[in-house]
Amino acid sequence: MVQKNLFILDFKKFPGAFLITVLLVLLFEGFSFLISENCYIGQTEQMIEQRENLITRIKNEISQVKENNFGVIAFGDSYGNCGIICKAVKKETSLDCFNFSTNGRNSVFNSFSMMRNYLKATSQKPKFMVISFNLYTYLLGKPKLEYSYEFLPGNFDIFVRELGFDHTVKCLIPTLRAQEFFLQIVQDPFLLFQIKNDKRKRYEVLKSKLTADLGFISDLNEIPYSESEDQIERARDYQFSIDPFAYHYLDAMLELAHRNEIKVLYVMPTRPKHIDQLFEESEEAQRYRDFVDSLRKRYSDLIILDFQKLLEEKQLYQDPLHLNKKGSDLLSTLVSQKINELQ
Amino acid sequence: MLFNSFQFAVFFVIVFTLYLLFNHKWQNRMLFVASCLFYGTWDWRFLFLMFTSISVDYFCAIRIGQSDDEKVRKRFLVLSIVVNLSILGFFKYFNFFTDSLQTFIHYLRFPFHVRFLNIILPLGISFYTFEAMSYVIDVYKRKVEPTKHYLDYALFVTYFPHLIAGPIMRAKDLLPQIAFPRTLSLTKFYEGCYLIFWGLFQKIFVADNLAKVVDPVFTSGESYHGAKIVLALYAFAFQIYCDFDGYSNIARGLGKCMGFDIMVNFNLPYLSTNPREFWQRWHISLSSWLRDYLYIPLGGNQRSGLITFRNIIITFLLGGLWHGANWTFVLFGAYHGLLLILYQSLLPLLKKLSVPRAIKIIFFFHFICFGWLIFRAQSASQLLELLKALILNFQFVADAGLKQMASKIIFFTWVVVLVNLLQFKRNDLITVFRLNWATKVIFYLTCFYLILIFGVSGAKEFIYFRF
Repeated sequence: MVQKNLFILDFKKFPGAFLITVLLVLLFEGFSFLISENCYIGQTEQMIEQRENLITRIKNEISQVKENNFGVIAFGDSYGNCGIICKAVKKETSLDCFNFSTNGRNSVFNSFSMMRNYLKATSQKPKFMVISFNLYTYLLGKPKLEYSYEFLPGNFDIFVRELGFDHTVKCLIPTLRAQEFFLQIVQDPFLLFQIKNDKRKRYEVLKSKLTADLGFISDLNEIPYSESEDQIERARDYQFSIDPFAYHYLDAMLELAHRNEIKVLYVMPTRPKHIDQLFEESEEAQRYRDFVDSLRKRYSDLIILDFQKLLEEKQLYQDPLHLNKKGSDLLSTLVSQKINELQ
Repeated sequence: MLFNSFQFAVFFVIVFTLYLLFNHKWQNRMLFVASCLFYGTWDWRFLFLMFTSISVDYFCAIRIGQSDDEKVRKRFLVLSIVVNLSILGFFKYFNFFTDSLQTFIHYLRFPFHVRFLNIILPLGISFYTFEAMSYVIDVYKRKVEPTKHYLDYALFVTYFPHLIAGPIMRAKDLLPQIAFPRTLSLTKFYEGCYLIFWGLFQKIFVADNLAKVVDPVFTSGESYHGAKIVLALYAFAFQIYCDFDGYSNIARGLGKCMGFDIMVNFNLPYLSTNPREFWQRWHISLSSWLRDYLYIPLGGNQRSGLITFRNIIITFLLGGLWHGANWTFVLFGAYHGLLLILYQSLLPLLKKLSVPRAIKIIFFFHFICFGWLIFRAQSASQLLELLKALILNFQFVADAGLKQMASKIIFFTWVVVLVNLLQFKRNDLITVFRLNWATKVIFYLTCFYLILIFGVSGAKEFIYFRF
């Protein structure tokens, strides 16, 4: 029995303010949605891939394609992103390959999500998996997870598990997605003149580029070597430690690979000789070796590859952390040779 | 299931939809099932405990109502009170008393060890026990007729908006609303929505953000910094107020949407000028309960001054202990009891002073804050450390950390302070609801985006759930 008196519309008591507020909120949210989907500020174009996680978003989308049938899949952070050229791997091994590496923000978590999505989407299990993370990546913990908010499709459940339902839903609210954008405009109103509205187009262009290059963007690493004081300082003083969140998902990846009988090649990150010397002098080196040893003990079938001696020339790098085109060609060949040995 | 969670929003939408579709009889049945589900999501095992208490009280009240023999009536009243207090005492205070006993035995150097039990504190036990006790006492005093319908009584205790953290409703106020069909109206519905919105703002934007300012000061192992403690106390004063008032507003709002009138639990407590006024404005349902069922039966202020002071102290000590099984709560009660006694004693002198109300409010606010120091301290030893830092070793260095803390407190409290002042000026707790539409739109938008952008996500428990 409906309580009829609730539905008698008394216009004197009409909640005008409530309705106008709702309308304004909807308008503003709609506007924010359009902004977050279509616009970016030209000056920070370089940051688009970082902040908006376009690459992660695209690769996540590709990881869920039912027709995927790669023999080799690569996961990692910016080291892997700049280091594994799947075209070269395919040429050497005749196995189809795709590089799912992303940038440094929560790349272990992102890698696990994509790997899980990949194995869920297709029945064709890959034979090999290449993992390559820089040392710094292991430091990234759960608090950084919300920066991966673009990475929601297909991963809602683990986001809920890690962040809670409320927070995950919050990540979908347009105003919050466009927050960075609004903040920049508030700080510098002149940036209004640099707004570009071709983000969707960029997304499409980047997607076709990534699909064509099998997950590797060739123009990313054709940069001559340069290093900053800060990078050298970091190599000298950095304290290697592993965040339990990053470790949990690395462990989950290795476990998943083991269950699906995928051979895992764990590529230790390399660096130019002078940076490596600094690294070897630090306590960090021993801690990292201990960590790798612990992985070796835990997963006896894990193949650990250390190409430091073969990749120590400065000419192979674009900076102290990332290989350039020449370096990635060499690393990809070395990884391919190992795959061929194992086939 | 917390009021400030999405799960609860979904739960309430379903409950409210069904509520609109059902007639009075089925509304009550559905609300009872929903309330059990609401409580059961936390721990279904304690539903049995709650129903033991409900069944005993229902039965005792009926027997008290049926009998004219004073002895029989008293016997059932005592039975009900003993059962209720035994349950409360065991689940809430067993380990506290055994721990205190152990300390005492240790102090006397007896080689004897008291056994501790791993007891979980059932959610809302202090609230529903007091509510049930007031019902049986009121029936005994013939203030209320015992209800013959078990479901009505069970819904009176379990009704989900007030089950976990009050307000502690009286049977004379709530039972008739359950027994007779309720009237729904758009005005009530809008008022309810406003109260829910305002309650959520108080909790998510103010209380949960202030918790981040307060907690590090009280939980850090580092030495305490006097100025930081003062700021943390200001922040805690608003945290606990917005947390509990936020909960009470949401409870009232939910009730209003369904046609229930749940009592006001807070009436601008920080605008009080003295302890008596404060307790008439703070946690009104508990202070009026303690007044009616403890202070007045003890004799109230009807006898000599000393007896009155004794009654005040007993009432406040037990009121303090009601909050939790910790000596700090007993001290909190004692502090407020003594404050009230001091005020009563100095009243003739104070009446001669003509001090502006604003000054009195600010002055008394600091006494309230000192009480929060006792309340917030995790142990008596921490309280001592805090007092040392505050009194003997007070340092004021306006460093960046302190400035940041102060600016955070201002940022998270300005809306509440403004609204409270407006409520006080117009003597209307829902004055915002009565502002012109343009001001309301600005207010709603400001609050909404403050919640959205700065609100703490991930539902955080309300402080009074622990009590």
